[in-house]
Amino acid sequence: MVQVLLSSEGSKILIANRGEIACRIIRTARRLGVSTVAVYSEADKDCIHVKMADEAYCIGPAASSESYLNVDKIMSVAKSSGAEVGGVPSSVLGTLDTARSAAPGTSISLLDIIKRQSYFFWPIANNDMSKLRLPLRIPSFAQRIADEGLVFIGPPAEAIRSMGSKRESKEIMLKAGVPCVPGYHGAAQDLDTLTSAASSVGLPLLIKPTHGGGGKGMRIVRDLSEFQEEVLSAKREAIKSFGNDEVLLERWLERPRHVEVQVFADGFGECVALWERDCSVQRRHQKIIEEAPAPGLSMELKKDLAEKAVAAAKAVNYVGAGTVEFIMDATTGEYFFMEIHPVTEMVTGVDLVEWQLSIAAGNHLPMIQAEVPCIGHAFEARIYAERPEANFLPDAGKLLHTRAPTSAPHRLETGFQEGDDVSSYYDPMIAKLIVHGKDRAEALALLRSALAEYQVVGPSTNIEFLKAVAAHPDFAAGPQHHDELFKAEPMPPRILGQAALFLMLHEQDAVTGGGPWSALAHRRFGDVAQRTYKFDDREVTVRILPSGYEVEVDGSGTVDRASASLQDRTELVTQWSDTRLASTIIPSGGHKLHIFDSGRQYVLHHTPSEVEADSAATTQTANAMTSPMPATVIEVRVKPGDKVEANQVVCVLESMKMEINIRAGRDGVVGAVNVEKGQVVEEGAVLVALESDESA
Amino acid sequence: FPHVALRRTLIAQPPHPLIPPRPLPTTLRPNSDEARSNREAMRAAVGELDALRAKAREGGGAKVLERWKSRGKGKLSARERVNALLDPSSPFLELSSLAAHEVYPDPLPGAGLITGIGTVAGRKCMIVANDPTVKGGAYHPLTVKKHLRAQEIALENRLPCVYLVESGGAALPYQSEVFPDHDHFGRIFYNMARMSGLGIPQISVVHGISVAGGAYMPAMSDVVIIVKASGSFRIGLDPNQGRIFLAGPPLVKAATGEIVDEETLGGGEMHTSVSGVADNLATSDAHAIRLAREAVQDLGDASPSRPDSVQREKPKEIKAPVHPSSELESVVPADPRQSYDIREVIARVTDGSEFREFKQEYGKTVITGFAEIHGHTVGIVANAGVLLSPSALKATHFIQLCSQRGIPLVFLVNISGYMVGEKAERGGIAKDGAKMVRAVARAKVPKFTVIVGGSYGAGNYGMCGRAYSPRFLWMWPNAKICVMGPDQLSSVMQTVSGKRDDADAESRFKDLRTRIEGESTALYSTARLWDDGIINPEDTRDVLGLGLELAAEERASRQATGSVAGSGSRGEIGADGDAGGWGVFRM
Repeated sequence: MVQVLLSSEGSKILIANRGEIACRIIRTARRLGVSTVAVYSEADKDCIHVKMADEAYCIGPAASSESYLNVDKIMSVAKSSGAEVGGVPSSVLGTLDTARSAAPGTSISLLDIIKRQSYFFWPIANNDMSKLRLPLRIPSFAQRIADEGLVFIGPPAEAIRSMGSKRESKEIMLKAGVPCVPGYHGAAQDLDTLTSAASSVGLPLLIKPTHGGGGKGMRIVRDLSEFQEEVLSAKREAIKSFGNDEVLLERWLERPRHVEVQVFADGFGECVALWERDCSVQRRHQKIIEEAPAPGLSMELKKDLAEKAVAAAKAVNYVGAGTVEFIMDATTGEYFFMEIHPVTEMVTGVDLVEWQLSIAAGNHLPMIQAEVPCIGHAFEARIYAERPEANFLPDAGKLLHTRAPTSAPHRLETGFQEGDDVSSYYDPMIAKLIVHGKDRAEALALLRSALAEYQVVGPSTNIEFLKAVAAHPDFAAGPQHHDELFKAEPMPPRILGQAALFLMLHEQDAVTGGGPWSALAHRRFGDVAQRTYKFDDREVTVRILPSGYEVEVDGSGTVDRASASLQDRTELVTQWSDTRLASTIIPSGGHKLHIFDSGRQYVLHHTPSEVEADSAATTQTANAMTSPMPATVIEVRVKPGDKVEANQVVCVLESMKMEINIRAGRDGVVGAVNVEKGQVVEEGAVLVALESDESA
Repeated sequence: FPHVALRRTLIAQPPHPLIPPRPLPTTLRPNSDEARSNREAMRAAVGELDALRAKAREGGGAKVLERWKSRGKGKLSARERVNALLDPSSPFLELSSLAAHEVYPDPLPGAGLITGIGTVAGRKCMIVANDPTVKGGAYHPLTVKKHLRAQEIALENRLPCVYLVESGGAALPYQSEVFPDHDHFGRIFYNMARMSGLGIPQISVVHGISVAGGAYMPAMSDVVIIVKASGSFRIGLDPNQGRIFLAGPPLVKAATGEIVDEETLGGGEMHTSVSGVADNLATSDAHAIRLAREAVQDLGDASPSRPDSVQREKPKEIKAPVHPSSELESVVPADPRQSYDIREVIARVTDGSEFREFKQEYGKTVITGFAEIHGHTVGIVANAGVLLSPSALKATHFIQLCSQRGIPLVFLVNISGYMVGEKAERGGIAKDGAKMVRAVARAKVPKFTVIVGGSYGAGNYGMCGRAYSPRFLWMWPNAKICVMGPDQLSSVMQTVSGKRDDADAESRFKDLRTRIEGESTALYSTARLWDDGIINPEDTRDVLGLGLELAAEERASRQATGSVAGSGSRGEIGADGDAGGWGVFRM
């Protein structure tokens, strides 16, 4: 165990982060006898990290920019809370306590930044959009902390600064002998230079904002004739998002493996690598499954990666925990330096938070490279509030019901408990589920069984998607990009049928008063009674027979007969011609149904009939642009009376660090604009309405 | 001692009902040749009926509907409006869906009107919806009759009325048959005023044109919702959304020379903001229906048919018949002249197939007794042959008992008439029959009539025919209704006309017989609104249950509010009005 010497008097740290990372840091700090100061936004006042910390201070409203990213507020809390030495926060590392497993790094939103910044590392991740703004802010934040006489738990400002620009960092890395993806990182940004650079980089290529990250402003170009248009568009987006329109070009690897190496450096120039992870399973440029060690690599390759990573860290005088990320071309076995980013993880039995605190306190690294163990195999799956079937759009809402796995051994890092809100202000990650086994096969089996037992109701989650990935034979063979898994499976007709029967039985239950008018629900004497339910773009028709029901999906002509009964409010039993199904169905958030059937969860969105729906929406649906999720309006581009063309952007929303362009559904004239910049809107809110189509 | 407790549990009985369950026996052998041929005959009749009903439900037909829908955005068909108005799981007790069947030269499916009872926001309501795809929703004589019948049912059962209006008003070629008389067009508005005065809410939703006489439909309502023009506000753009005026632009021009467009003259925006003729402006049919549902939700405790108006001490478990209703099709003889035991029908209608017979050994051609139907105690009067004096006396006795006890009456009708002949006349059959007729007329309880066979002659009166104001009167597909059998009728005519038996007369009487036979069918009856609809025999128990429940709620409502409406109202309404107030004036 490492002895932590936080400077003389103070053994108190301020954690400028939230959620599962803050919780994780507090646990280690508590074990080490370090007291903790949490900060929180108004939206987070009931969060676990606030309750866990020894002290907690509110630093402003929900928006990150006014709270977690408000350096002045954080500094004043740091000073007033008497975190004499250092107030600073935190680690992003997840770690193992007893089990070894990979705990990942980042989770949250912009806050991460801060925290990350604050602490150790090195921001810039490819898995968190928030980090985009990091490079610009962190160095000054770290510097400010130092100037105020506090300790920043993380890399020195100078290291951050030199890595802040992708171009600069690539130069440093190349100088240090770390291979990089072929590309153009030059300062010259005129169109001609970029165009000729593009042809030498080769296709396909990626245009990336130099000061950005996380997918924003990135463009993949597969045809040189599209290059100029794409580069201009990327620059426009970059200047808007990062205040700088510099871009770099890189060869784009279609099916790359993402392998990253965890490094740890102390203030004495020592650096060790805590082996590598594989983060190839990603969606929207964010990783969703990590594993350590990376499977299928030879020991020589692992060692080579570790050495390169250490060289990279040393090249920027890195201190603390960091990650060096490599993209490996699966076909050539080459690897390239991509970027360092701070992550958490280990199969080494090391508590990275502890190391981080120790190093911040001025201690030496507790191990040399030869002593770093690598035992067994670990997986981490990230549970996000999102809709895989809707291109992984983030979701939000109250966690109505959560049930952690009970039998499979696992570790769960979460900042949420049942009843909490997954707010649209922050990163939609709900939890990291970590398992550790003696080898990859055992760990994978544990991952599958833990996922199968994990239940979340409230916002939609990617749990089903994770299950599909974990169960896929290709994944068992080794982590790769699994494009086919990203395609949503069509909803099985019987799931749709169960949902419809569930709604219908509840409608019947809602009838009060008893007597034949309740008992004879739906009856049409001399006529066939039927109800039609819409789920997303599917339609289920239920015909009510004297005994039982006929279920038809999408007017297919195929009729499935069933009887159905509710055992209680949420337990539906259906008897079909060839099978009996018992499922748990939990409605949430107005029109969502969560169906747990045979170990799988399905989420359906019920579209109420026009009459049942809200009247405003009813009348405007055809002509209305609505918010696909809870979001903040960041730009309104039209006013009433404007002529718009189909597909023209009328409004820009931001939710969970993603920008969403809302486009006109058809040509027309803007009738009403219901929102203004800065307004927070609910899912389904009508943003802009077009006037009725005159030709009708 | 656990075994003692266990034993107690095992021998514990539910509380004894006062009368032990005693299901009627049955002699039906479903696999017998007889049952099979009965079944085939009834299925054929029901199949024919289903086909006719399905056709009638299409209103003006798919093509007309499509053309009509294309004239405006989001327009719902009449049936879609009704379904949207109903609570999602509500039953819908549709009335007279085959009204006007083969009556007019051009088809008039359902008489251009959908009427029926269902729950809206938990309240049972009478729904009256014009079908604009049927001759523009114009009121033919039978349309008026169907509308008035729906209002009568609403009045008797104290049901709030929701009118889904889209009609050009009276069918002008038929003006003499729809306009001037007692039970013609004006009676619709008289009824609205009367019901409003008795606290029975009247709500109109104007989906389309509501002109001339039709304009009084909304104007007489307590609450009016109107759908505004769906296009942008441009002259003549969408002529198919709600508008109300006493005279349309052509008539205005003819009368005063003023030139004005429909929207200005009577559009939704004008009526909700300027004239006050309508109260709430809806932006689409669906929105209007939603507003109507909200309006029903806001009817308040004093309005009838509150969702919880019948207080049940605890939910009573309703026993299904031991002999299922679906067997009724096998019970009724394929040959209508063949007699059968009406108890086989009773056993397939009552809860638990139970029946506690009254005066079983006396006047055996009529069966009387008590039973429950969907939990409601009823007195059943059913025929088992021609009515003789003792039968008439027995029925009179039983009807008086039920009236005194407040037990609703159910008549299961299969009657050829009162006995004729010297013996019967000398025995005073006319006097005894009259007792029964008087008892039926004056019984102070709700009556329900189901014609399961024939309903002939004075038997129709004694067995609570239409003229005796049963709350509902339903026919089975095999039912016949006529002053006498076609054979007897034509032979009587032959005799009284004094014509010789020649070939010419023979064929004339044959034609007469054929015509009378055609006029005795259930289809002929239902087309003319002599009943409230033909039902499938297996639905008998359920429609009776719904009707009984309505009657029970009406009674509870009347007791709660001290109102005079409902079953007692006919007797209590004075010659110049009734005990109600003015109703709600539109301001």
